[in-house]
Amino acid sequence: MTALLQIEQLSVARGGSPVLSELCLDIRCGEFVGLIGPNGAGKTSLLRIISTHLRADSGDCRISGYREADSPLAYRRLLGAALAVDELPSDLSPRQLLQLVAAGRELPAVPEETLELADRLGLQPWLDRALGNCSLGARQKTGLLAGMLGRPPLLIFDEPFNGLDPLAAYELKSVLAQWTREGSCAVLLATHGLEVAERLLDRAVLLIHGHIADQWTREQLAALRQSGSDLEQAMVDSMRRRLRSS
Amino acid sequence: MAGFNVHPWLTHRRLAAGNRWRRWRRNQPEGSVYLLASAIALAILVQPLLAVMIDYAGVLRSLLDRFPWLVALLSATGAALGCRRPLMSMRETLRCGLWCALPLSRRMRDVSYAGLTVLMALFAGAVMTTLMAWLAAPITLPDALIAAVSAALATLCTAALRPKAAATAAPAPAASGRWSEPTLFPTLLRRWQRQRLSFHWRSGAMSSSGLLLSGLLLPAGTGMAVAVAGLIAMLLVVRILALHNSAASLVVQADLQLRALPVAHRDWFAGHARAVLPEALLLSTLIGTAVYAVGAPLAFVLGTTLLLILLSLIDMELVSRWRRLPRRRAISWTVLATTCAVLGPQAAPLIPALLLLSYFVLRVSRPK
Repeated sequence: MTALLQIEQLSVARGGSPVLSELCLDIRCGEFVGLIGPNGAGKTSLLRIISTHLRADSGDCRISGYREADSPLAYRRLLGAALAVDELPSDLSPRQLLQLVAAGRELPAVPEETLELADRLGLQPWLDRALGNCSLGARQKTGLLAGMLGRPPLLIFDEPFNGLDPLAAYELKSVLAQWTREGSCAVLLATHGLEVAERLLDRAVLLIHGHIADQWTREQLAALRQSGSDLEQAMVDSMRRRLRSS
Repeated sequence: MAGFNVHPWLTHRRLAAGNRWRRWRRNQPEGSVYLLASAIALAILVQPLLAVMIDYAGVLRSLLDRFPWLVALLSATGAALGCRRPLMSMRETLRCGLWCALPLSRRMRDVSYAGLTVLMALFAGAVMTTLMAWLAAPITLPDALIAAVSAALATLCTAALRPKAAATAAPAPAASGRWSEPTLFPTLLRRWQRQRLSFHWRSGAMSSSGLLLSGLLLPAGTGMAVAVAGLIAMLLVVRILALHNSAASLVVQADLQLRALPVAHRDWFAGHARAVLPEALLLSTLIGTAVYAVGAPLAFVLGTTLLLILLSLIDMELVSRWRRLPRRRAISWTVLATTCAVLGPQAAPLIPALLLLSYFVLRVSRPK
């Protein structure tokens, strides 16, 4: 199967120091991939490059073969990026923002699926308040829904479970797992929640100093659990090995 | 709302204006007080400003008689300085920001930017022509046309400039990790505000509208050395006041992110006060020095400096106390300024009341 997301030799530096160095990563449709790693490893930068908020110094990033530079519309139609909480406009209500995003995605209205998901996440009572008066959780849910609206083939999230109550976090995990199982989309999320990674992911990718230091497939993650070890221990071991070798 | 013919930012602005209007109607008593106080303050402020500008108009008229090309130069400079920041910020908003990941065509973005730029050019032309007609009255029709065209052209040229790559500001605080430790909160808030403020300082040149205003406030016939010193002092004052305002909006922004944390009010006050105190002291000293330089007695200078420090402390309290209702801070200052302007020297009895209020504020807000 051809990759939905293809990243080749991606490099970016900030203030002279490298953030990502010749990074390569492929994600197939229906895959649920988690980026894990210490602070400053380059997780957010990678997601911001994919969502076109940040320009890479070199390398290539394609979705279904489309590059943002050559086919920006086709590239962005295939991409759903959750909006960061501090980017949300405080002078609109969640419903108004979702209507704008729906119009931007050339949909006649906010899809029923998104409104149902808003209900499942507990956003319904907040839908018509100004975002500036909403709780952190309500704003986080709005940002996530804006990314998921219209179910684009590639969904990317940066710490999506921050600020969510346990029920909403559970619902979000269930929906993402269901969508990837159905094969309708692929999910790439950056998370520090290793328990999420262990239970849900098809693949966990460990990023250290802008390089992929290690990867674990679903089978390897299951094997880790059966052996009585866990991902946290494996990640720490991998980091120590890497630090020793450098 | 299927699809867009213009950039969604314009629809966003329209929806937000509607929301503001509805909110204003809901909170009408508060809004009316603000409007009334602002109108009175404006009327009082405009009088001395007009006097200075009329003073200037005489000098300008004689200059224009000798150098007619000055009309074009002044109009173009005024329009370019006034439009530079709004144009840059509009360009950035349309290019990236919230709408970055949506499938919007570049053509739509470029057409929207071009349309808005043309509107702004027309507006700048109209404003600069009116200003020139008023300052250099009577103005001839060719001169009015030259003023309009040069202002519009300067706006269009400014719009065509590419902004330098934006520096990166410190990321917004998150309601987790170290921020959730109560003992660290004031330090983290101070550090985050300082980082953002230094980013604001570096990313924005001296405020262009501040430069224009400062220039106009200098009475005509001021000596060169005094004019330069006065201009620098006034620019610093405008810049520090702008930074104070940025710091206040940062507290509102931080509160949005950290609402879930049980942070005591005194910790908000402590963090914010530590962040802005250096500028508050500098500002008070600067104004005190300026008052001394124009020959005021020492006791008056000390009194003015202390009063300004006091007002800064009260402002810090208002910012942290009303971080969820920032408009109340604006209303309080507008009402206070209007009262002082109406009463003039008779407003002196307000000073003991302010002293009492600040003592109360410090007592309540002292970190335990």
